[in-house]
Amino acid sequence: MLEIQNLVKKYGKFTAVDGLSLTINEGEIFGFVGPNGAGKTTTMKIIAGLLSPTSGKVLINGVDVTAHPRKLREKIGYMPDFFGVYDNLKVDEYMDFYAGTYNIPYSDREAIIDNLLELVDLSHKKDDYVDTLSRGMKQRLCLARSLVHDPDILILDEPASGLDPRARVEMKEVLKQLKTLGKTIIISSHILPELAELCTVIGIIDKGKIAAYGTVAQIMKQLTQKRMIKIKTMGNMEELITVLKEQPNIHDIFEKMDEVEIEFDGDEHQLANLLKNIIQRDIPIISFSEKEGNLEDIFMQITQGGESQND
Amino acid sequence: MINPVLRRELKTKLRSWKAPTLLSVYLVILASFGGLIMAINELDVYTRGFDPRGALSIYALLAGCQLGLIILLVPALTSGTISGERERQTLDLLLVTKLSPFSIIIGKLMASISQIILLILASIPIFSIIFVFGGVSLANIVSLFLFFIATAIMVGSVGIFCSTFFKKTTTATVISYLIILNLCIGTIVALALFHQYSFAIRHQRLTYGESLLIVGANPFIGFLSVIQNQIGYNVITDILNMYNNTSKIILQPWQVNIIFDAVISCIMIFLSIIRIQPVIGKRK
Repeated sequence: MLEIQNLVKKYGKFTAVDGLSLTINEGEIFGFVGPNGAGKTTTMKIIAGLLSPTSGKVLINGVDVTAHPRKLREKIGYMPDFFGVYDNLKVDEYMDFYAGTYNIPYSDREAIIDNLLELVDLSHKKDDYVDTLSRGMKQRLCLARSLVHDPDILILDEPASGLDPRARVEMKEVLKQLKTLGKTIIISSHILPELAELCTVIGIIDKGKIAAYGTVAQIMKQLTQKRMIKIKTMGNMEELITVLKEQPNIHDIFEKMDEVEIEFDGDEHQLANLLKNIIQRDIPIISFSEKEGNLEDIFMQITQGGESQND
Repeated sequence: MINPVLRRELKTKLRSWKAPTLLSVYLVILASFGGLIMAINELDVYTRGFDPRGALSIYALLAGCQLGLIILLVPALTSGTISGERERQTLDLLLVTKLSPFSIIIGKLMASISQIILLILASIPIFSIIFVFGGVSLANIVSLFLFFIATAIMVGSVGIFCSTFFKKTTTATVISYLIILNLCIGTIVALALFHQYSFAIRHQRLTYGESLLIVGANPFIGFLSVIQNQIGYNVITDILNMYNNTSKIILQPWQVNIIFDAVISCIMIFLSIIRIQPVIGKRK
């Protein structure tokens, strides 16, 4: 189990992570979503033992990561968002090197490397030089590298960033396979839908704080308590708005190009009443529909203003 | 199990074109220098043809040339080791592994030193010309080479420290050259200045101990002292005012040098280890 307790990381005056607390259970696939600069990478680096927090703790099975970084190294596999490779090194030698850094005996390495290369679909590139691989292949190789010591926890920082659509799909396939390995995985992305189908739990981080937490369904529910209703009229828009302003349960009214959107917090009956009231006032309604909760919209809603900061 | 960093470094280093080029250029420089000294020896008007008595000076000059080359090469080989990993974005990948910072630093240092050892070994045929004329034993050459390796380790650890301390390889390279330059030339300048000062104020030269305090760390002084013991020319006796020493000489300059190399190497390696540790952690 991974516990993050009130984690704070400051760089001078800038606070990258601001009192973040989280619990990630064993075998869970946790999606860490947030705009660039929200503190995802910093948090992941602290979990991986690459940064010390200003305050707060990260506990893995009750052991403090910062106090015993080396003890936990073999439990964690880490794939950074940006990484390089060595020149003049072949794919299997690259894997062999990292296997060596985890003291894996020479005799076991070949089998481990072959398995992992097969998992990330790079077996055919075994004898190629690492620096000649495409970006997508390098990302997959790096993923295989992070698995070389069979860690319990896998930290993947934007594994699909900077990839073309095809490579993205290939990476997704590999990640889906990882799901079957039963490891605890923490995976970050600045794109929420990308993680929705992969993760069991999602945490949305903004300005160093968790803004929403739960399963995809829970988050949707949590954030769509106020329903968005789209209303189209053939008649005068002003008239419709005047009528709407008199109605109960309406929080906000947004005038769009050819329709009106309202934020409504009542139940189904109250919604039916609303439509009845509008029609009774002789407003020619041609469309009255609930706007589907869109992950992307929710994300934008939660992380408002976050996009002004960058990494 | 061999240190994985050392294993990988050797593999990738020797695969690139740089390693054979470096080896060739090194040998060409050393051989041309040797040839030049021999040609000059033959031109001596007082002897006809080659004067075998000059063989010892050829040995000393060749060895000096080799030390110069090593001191010039080692900072270039080491000052990019850690900063290069940082620039290539591979350092984090290395730091999250089970590899201790000590293994990383030592692996890097050993990889560079192995390359120097390769150069030294490859230069043996050039040195063996001396054997034709006699005067230098195999033991002499071995002890000279050991002295070279000790110097290379010291210079290398300074290079690696700079590489961990400065983020950019260029800065690290410049600073390590400045430090080494100061050690080799700065200390000599300082010695000359202190001599003048001593004459002006005390009307006497610096004592051996005082001189040694100023230039004892200089690899060339250590080298001259090794050579002096081997070929019998009093090369540094005068520089260090050894003849005027009233008390017994406890430490030869080369011994001071070796001690200095050992101490500095340990300090530099220790500081480098502290520096690359991402999270210090608690001792149990």
